[in-house]
Parts: sequence; structure tokens; C-alpha cells
Amino acid sequence: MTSAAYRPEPERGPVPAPAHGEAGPAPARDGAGPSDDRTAAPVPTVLHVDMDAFYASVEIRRRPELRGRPVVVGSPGPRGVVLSATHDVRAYGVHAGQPVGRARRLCPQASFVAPDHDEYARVSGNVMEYLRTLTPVVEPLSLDEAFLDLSGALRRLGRDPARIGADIRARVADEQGITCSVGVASTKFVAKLAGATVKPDGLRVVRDDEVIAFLHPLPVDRLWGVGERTEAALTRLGLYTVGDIAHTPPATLCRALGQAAGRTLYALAWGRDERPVVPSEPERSIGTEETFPADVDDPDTIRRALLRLSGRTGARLRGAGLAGRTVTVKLRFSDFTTLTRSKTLREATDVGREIYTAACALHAALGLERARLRLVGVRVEHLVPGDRPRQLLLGERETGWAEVERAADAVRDRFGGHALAPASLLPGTPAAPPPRPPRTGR
Amino acid sequence: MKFRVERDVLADAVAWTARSLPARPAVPVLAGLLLEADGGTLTLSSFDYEVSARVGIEAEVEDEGRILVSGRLLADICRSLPNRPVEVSTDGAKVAVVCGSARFTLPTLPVEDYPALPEMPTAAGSVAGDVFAAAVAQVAIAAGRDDTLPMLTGVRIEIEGDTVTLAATDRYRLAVRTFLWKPDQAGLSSIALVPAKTLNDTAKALTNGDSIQIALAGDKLGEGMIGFEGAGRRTTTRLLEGEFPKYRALFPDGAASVATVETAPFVDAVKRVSLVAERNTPVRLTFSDGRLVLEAGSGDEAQASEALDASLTGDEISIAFNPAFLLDGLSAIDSPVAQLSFTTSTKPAVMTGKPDMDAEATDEYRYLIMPVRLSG
Amino acid sequence: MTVWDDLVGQDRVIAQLRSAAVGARGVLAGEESSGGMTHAWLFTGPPGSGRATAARAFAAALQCVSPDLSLGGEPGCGHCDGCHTSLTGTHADVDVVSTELLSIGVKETRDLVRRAALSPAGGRWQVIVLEDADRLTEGAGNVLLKAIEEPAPRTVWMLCAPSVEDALPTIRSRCRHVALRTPPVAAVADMLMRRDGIDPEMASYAARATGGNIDRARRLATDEQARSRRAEVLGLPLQLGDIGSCMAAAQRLVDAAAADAKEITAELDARETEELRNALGANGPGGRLPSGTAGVVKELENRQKKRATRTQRDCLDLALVDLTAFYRDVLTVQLGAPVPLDNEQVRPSVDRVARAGTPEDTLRRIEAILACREAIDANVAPLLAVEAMALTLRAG
Repeated sequence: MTSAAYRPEPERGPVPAPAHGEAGPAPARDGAGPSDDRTAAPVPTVLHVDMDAFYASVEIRRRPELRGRPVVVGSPGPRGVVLSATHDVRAYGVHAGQPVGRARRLCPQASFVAPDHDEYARVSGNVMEYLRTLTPVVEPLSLDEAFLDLSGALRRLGRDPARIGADIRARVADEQGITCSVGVASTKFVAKLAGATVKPDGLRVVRDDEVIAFLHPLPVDRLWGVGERTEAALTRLGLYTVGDIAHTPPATLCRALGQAAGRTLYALAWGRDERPVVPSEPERSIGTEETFPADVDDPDTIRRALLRLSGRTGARLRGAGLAGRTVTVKLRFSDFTTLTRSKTLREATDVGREIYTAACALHAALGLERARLRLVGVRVEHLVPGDRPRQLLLGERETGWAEVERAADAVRDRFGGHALAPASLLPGTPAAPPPRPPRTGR
Repeated sequence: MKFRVERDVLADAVAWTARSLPARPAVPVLAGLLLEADGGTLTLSSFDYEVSARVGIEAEVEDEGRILVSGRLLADICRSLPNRPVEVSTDGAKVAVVCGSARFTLPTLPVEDYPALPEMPTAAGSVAGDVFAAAVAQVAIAAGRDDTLPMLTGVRIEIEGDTVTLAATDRYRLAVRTFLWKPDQAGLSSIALVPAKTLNDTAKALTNGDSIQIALAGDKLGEGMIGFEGAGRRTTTRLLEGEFPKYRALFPDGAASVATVETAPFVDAVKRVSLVAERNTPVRLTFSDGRLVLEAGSGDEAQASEALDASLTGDEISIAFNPAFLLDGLSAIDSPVAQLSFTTSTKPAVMTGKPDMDAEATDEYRYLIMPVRLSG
Repeated sequence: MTVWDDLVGQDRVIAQLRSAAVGARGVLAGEESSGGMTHAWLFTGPPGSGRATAARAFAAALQCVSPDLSLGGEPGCGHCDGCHTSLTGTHADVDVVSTELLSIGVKETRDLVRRAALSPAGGRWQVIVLEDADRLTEGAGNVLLKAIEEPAPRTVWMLCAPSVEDALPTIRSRCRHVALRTPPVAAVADMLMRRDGIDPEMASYAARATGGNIDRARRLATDEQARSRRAEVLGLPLQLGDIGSCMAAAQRLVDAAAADAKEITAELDARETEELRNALGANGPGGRLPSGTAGVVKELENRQKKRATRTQRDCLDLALVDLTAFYRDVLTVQLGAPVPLDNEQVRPSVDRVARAGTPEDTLRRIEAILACREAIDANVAPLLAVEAMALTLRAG
């Protein structure tokens, strides 16, 4: 007998695109010649919407006396850091992540404001809600950034994504009182870069036949995933622009940077980014993630992280009086490719141990024993009220982890968060690592 | 090839064989129905690599032969034939079906590409058709339908001398039925895990006649397969791999409460009560002396409530179940009176049938059902 | 006729497999394993040498039920039910697994391992032919390894990969290795003459031009259009006058490869679709399908689309390989090596190009073609990559 072809795994990330020819448009050469003998290039439909100096803008919006003045939003306390700053302040060398004391010295005339995270979440929620009226395919990346995929909505909204981008900017400015920058292209990577080049308060469209001309002159650090180390490695190879990377044989890049990074950068250098815009509805799930201080490949460390995250997620579910049926694990590798895998359980759960079991199974099924991870996340979706009747299973133990964890909740409520933990997470084993400072400013 | 057959006999045979045709054939030829005419018999076969079906019918065979035609097409044609004798003949690469004034032609499929059907294992014994059909129906209802746990989608067949035990579970309920049969050899002992769906279909289709043969290989040849033969029809099925749960240990020892209720009013009450509430809302049963109260809806606000006569020995008990599982059990016991045994409200209940309120329950059929834990 | 007839120039391999097949019969009869029969095999060889063909032939020999056998005949008659259905891939116990995707993952491999553990329906052997074993992910490889280490008594694994290095080390150490070689040009020519009735001169040309790839040789020998397209490709080095001509030449190359691919797949697709529609009950070509079967046909179409894209890339790659052969001939002439040219029939062009440059130029050109093939493999748009290559070929 003969088996049919396998079903593709729903993977994201820059694995070389499956050979089905529809994967992204072919970027045309520079100074494109007449294209009548080819089919017309498809309309770019990926939008990157990025609110300018978000926290600062929100503060200015509600305190009009700050308008026109330099504003820095910094976390309070002696070791506070800059979270966001208006664009004029950045000219003084102030940037996100900097200690507030230093920022004050660099720009003493700026107004320093404490953050109001609830308000930022609210405003962000409003903006995302508005974006979702345009298309359901909205992927928020953070409070102030989102990708949209308009391919399904063009007929309804009119075929000109540039116009739609302009409308979005106008609407957000009008309704929320803050500005945003929009980049339009056929891929996430180029759309985001396009927006970045016209920040603040700008709109940029990069058509398919402009992609190469747009990308190749850019310096290599504009490529997603290129940090200091990678940039140094590229400089050693004599590669300074994206164009330089594009004209380097992929084998050379792979030797210098590793298989995955080499292939990714090569693809990005030619404008290829297969990542689809994946809609997410943040309210519909509860979860948490953790970035390792250094990339990790030890399976025990990863499992302990999963245990910790699962426990936390379980506690949050119980605190919210919810349970969820689908457990999702998110893994981000050292080259920034990100995978998620989900598993739907037969019954909704709010028990950390059950979430942990599912998360471990998902991680193990990937068979990536020696891949280096940067970040791990656990999330529970398809939420339902936590006190639903529960169909029991034959052979199930009468009392189990559910009861243990509820008892533990009570202990922690009384004696504090660290009073009780699973043995494998006790000190002596590496403690829970502190989160990294945020990479981009707000 | 050329033969003549009775219309109804043909249509029947084609319809039955066509049921085993795969909807998504792994290779095109598997969508074909194999027709073999020789002697005074026409044999029809179908196969999907897991299940094979074969039936022989009487035919006037003028020219012997072996052809393969699209099963779906033939089945459609047979359904629309008038009530006259049917004559089938090959003409080059086509097949002509003539019946009364109706005439159809079908293309043939490459018969040389059709895989050889598995051999029937040697017969192990036989059992009365109606007994088998009833037993399968009572047990298959509890089998799981989740493909990610394949060993739960099967019915376990245990043969121990002249006793056959069937068991199936989806981890929420477990059904076990024993019956006697006539083994070909004394001291036969064998175990098989058969996909529930196939067993169900087989039980329905092969039990028209008096008895059904069950064929299980104990040796190398035909290992991993089970065959059934009855009413002139024959099927083979691949057995499932995997560990079936050790189910005997799941039956509680002893009972703290035993309740007896007339089945028919019980069934009606469960249906009425669960109709009012949302789908699959658990039904709570509260047994006290002389009474059973049914409530649907969890928590304090019961959305519907009914009371029935019931006799109770032992402790009072309040316990909740998924109504569909309850109804499955009540219909499977197929008896005027239902007896339920309980220990606690979070442990399984055992349901069996009795002919009347005072009779003793037998162990021939038991249905174990796990309760629902209501929010505490 | 035997099942080994489709293998060309692989006498040693055939001997190895025949012996194993005879040994296998012994095992079924209760004897100890002999003749080199074992349960895990690794077939390797260059493209077009017939790896998958050899595996299928071996599978057929294992499932052969020829009446001849009881009279002392050898397994692998090619006629009987067992042989025929094994070769066509419809035998219930021969599972030929191939994929259009870039990798075979853990989940698919688990399914495969599960199927492999079942006893054969026909009572002989449960054979799994895994055609692209070089595409197993590491996780999938581990899953497979367990199954190969502890095989079910009647299960035989046959893995195919381009070379031993392409198979995971842990797996290849547990497989009996069957190494196919590039069939000698003479053997390929001989087969074309015998089986396809090609005249000796054409057979010889086709065999040499395709470097021992049987399928390509057959196409070249029987298809006028394929030959003219190939001639076009070989003419490219002389059409690189100025930038405009380079661009035009690149476009022609890409178009020619696409046309080639289309021809190959169109025929195959039409046949498969017809077979499936017939089987599902469409009465005659173009007849209506019974309700509920459209989905199955759609699945086939999707698979065919994927295959078409693969074929396009393969045809383009082959055209670039042909081009490389041209420049190798140029190098041969420039170095004065006493070796016959691959493309003797375009000798004048080869000479011209040889005279117009140095061996170093030619080496750089060959590298440019390789870079182009790599770029296409890494998903650069084909036309872009070929244009870049054409410009480099011009400059030298």
C-alpha cells in the first residue's frame, strides 16, 4: 500500500519555506523593468502599527500641560528605570532601560512621571479593539505594537493598504489622542522595518518591487535577531549591509553563525519572512513566561521552568475562578525563532501539576533535546468557570494535586509567596531568574 | 466474465460489501469492489487494509472471471435496478449490467493491482447470532471515540474455554458482558482487542442467520486478526495494539447502598429532567428510603426536579452523573428493573438489570459509571 | 521477466538482494536466517540510480507467491499477485512512504512505527519502504531507532537515502547497506535499446548526456522537446553578450525548466486523477463524481500541486547541472585532458568558450552556477538567482 504525503506541521519561524511556490512574493530586481509580461505583483497586506512613545504619549494625553515638553516615564523607587520617553528627549541620549537618575542628569528639563500600567492597558485595549473591527487577523506584540493581515479584508475596506494605514493613523489620533506609525509590506519583517524608518507619526509602504532596494542598503543591525554578537561576527566577515549578507553564500553564513541563524538571516536579507500574522485574543487566556538570563539547553532546567510557570498559571487560574482546556507551550530559541504547541485536555483544569504534565509532553514531543532556549512560556486557553462540575475518571485517585495546590494557595496567602514550593524548585537548585530588562522602549 | 443473479440478492450483497469501502482510499483500487464468478457462486469483496468483507451469493455463471469495478458506482446502480434478474458481462475494458429494460455500463479498474485479501484465521468457535448481537450492543456503547487513545476505542474479547467476556470503556464508564459459546477445541484461551465500530457493524450485519463463527488465530499465521462468519458473510479485522486497562480491579468490593428502580419511568424522568437543563448538565440522584429524587442543574438552583419510587438498602446517597451515560446504561441493561450499587458519591456506581424488584441480579452484564463531582 | 528488470547496471546489488530473498523464504519455513537476510536495510546511491526501485523490487521478492517457488524457482517472478501488487504499491503489507515536504517529523514516524508493528495480513512480511530517510528529523530518527532495534518478528524496514552520511549514524549502524552505484553509461544505453527500442546512437547520447540517470536518459531519448530544451540550455554560454542578453537568457532558462516540469507532471497528474475518479465512481472521464467524494479528489490535487512545485525546482536544478557539465567540458579542453567530453555534440561551442578564457575563469563560472543552485535551494526567487548567475558567467 502507499501512504499519502504527510500533513505539514503548523510551524512558524524562518525554516526555509516549504516548496509550494505561493510562499511570499518574489522581490523584483532594482530598477525594475516593465512587468507587463509577468502577473502584477500582489498588493502588500501586512501592516505593522506601532504607537509612538506609548507610555509618554498616554501621559501627555491626560495631562495636556505636558504637551510640547520633554516627558520621561520612569518606574519609581531608587532603582527606577526609564520606560518611555518622548522623541525629543531621546536626542539627549536618554533611552529605555536607563536608570532614572542618569536620565535626569542627561535631560534635567524633562518632566518625570510615574507609570500607570492600568491606563496603558486600557488604551492599548481600545486600540486593539478598534483594529479588530478592521480585520480579525490582529496580532498584538505588546501593548503598543500589532501586526495586521488585511488580505481577507481588502475587498471590504478598499484595495489600497496605504489608504487603510493612513485611516488607522487618523482614527487612533482622533479617538485615543496619540500618534502611531504604520509600515506596510508583504511580510512582517519588512512592514515593521518600514514603520521604524518613518517614526514618529509616519506611514511607509514598501511594495514588493521595492523590497530589495529598501532592504539592501540598510545596516545589518536592522535585521531581526541581529544583536551585538551577531553584528560583530558579520563585521568580521566584512558584511556591513543587508545587501552584503544577501550576496554571501548561505553556507558561509551558516558556518559563521550557525545553521538556523545563517538561514534566517539569508532569507531575511532577500525579503523572505514566512511568518503569518496570527490573531490572538489576549483576554481569552491566562499564562506567564520567563526569559532565562543566559540561553539554556539543559532539559532539567527547562522542565523546572515549566513547573514553575505551570504552578503560577494554575494559581492565577484559581485566583480568577477559572479553568482552561487547552495548554500552550511557547519556546523561543537563541536565534529568536519561536514555536508554540498546544494540547487540548479532555477536561478543563486549574491544577498546576496537570498543566505541567501537558506542558512537558508538548516540549518532549518536539524532540529538540539540545536546542538552546531563551524564553519559555506556559498559557492556558479556552477558559471556563473554575467551579464547573467535573466528570471523574475510572481509576482516578480521590485526592491528588488539585487538593495539594489549593492547600498551598491558602498557605501562601497567609505566609507569603515563597513559603511553599515544589521540592525541585527549592534554593540549592538555581533560583528563579530575574526577568531581563525590556528591549524596546515604550 | 458473464453471470446472472437475482436482483435483491445482488443489491443486498453489494450494499453490505460496499460498507467496508474506504471513504479516503489509500490507493485508488481500494475504492473498487472485487467480483469473482466461478462455479455457481459470485463472490464480492472489499478491503481497506484494516477490514475486509466478503460474501458469496448464488449465480448462474456462464463465463468465469475476476473483475474490479468502482464500489460506489456499482452500489448506486444496484439501488436503481428494477425488480428483474440481473445479467452482468464484460466487454473489453467495460462491464455491462442489464436488468429488465435498464442497461448500464461501468469502466473496470485494474484488477491485477488489487491486493490479496487476508486469509481467515482458523475458526475458534461459534455462538448464537442473537446472543452475540445483543452482547456487542450492550458493550460497544461504552467504548471510547477518541483517536488519541486508540486502545480505548476497542472492545476486548476474552475467551476462556466456553466463556466469552466482552469489555469496553472510555474511562467514564465501563461495560462488561459474559456469555457462553461453543469452542471448537476444549481449553481454548485467547484475547483480542477489536475496533468497536467494526464489531458493531459486524454484529448487526452477520447475525441474520442462526449462528456466527468467530475465528481467532492462536498461532503465527493470521496473528493480529480476527474473523467473523455468519449468514454467508465473512469479515476480517485487524486487531488493535495496546494495553487495555485492568478493568476488573475497578469494580468496587461491596456496596454501601443498593437501590432498585423500575427502568422505564427512570429513563423517562432522566430524559425530562435533562431536557430542561443545558446539554450535559449533570443529573443529581438522591436516594432515600422509598424515593429517588432527580435534579438537573448544579449548585443551589436546580433547574428541574422529579421524584420516583425506589427501594433502598443501606445508606442514603446523593450522587451526580452525566445523563447520556446514565441513559446508555439503562438502555443497555435491557431489563424492567435497574439495580444500582454505590459506595460514595465520588466512586463508581454499578448498574445491572433484573426481571423484577425482588429478583436477584446476575453478573452477566454490568455497567460501571463514574459520577460527576459537583462544585463543593 | 523478474522484479529486478528495472534496475540497470546494479549486478552486485541484485545478487545481494536475491540471496537475501531466498534466505527470507527459509525464515518463513522455520529455518534460521540465511543468505544475508535481515530486518533493516539502507539503500544508497546517486540520484537516478534506482534506490527506491531496488527497495520495491526487494519487497516484491519477499512477498512473491509464485507457484514456481515450490518447484525450486527463485522469488521475484514479477507476475504473481504478491510481486505485482508490491511493485504497484497496493500490497496490503508493503507500505511505501514518501513525502513532498522538507522533513519527516516525530508524529508521522510514530504512526509509521505503530503500523509497522502489526502482523502482516498476508502472513509473510510487513515491509516499510521509507523513501526519503535523509529527511528524518533528529527526534524522528530516535523514534525510528527504537523500532529498528527491537523489530517485530515479521517486519522489514527499507530506508532510502542518497548516501550513508545522510542517514543518522545510530540508524545506519543497524542497517544492512545496499550501495547502488552510478550505472555505467553503456548499461544505460543498453537498457534504452533493449527496453525502449531506441536506436544505438541516440541511446548512447542520452546515456552519456545524463550521466547515468536512467529516468532522465529515457526522457531525453524519447522526447524531442526535452532534447531541444537541453540544447537551448547548452547554448546559454554563448548568449551572454551584454546585460540585456544575459537577462533574456536567464528568463529563457527558467521558462524552459518550467515547461519541462509541466510536461512531466501534466501527464502523471492526468493519469492519477483519472484513476482516482474512476475508482470513486465518476462514470467516464469528465463524468460527475458521486456526492461526498470531492474532498478526496481535492486532496490529490493538493498533493499534485506540491509535487509540481518540487518538480519545477528539480528541473531547474537539472538544467543548471547540464550547464555545469558544459563548463566542465570547457575546462577539459582548456587543460588539454585526454578525457571524452560529456557534450561532444556541441564541441564547437565548447571550443569557442574555451578559447575565450582561462581555466580560472571557468572555475569561477562553475562556482557561480553552484551558488545559484544553493540560492534557489534556500528559496531565493529562481529568476533572480539565475539572472545573478548569468551576469557572473558573462564576466568570468
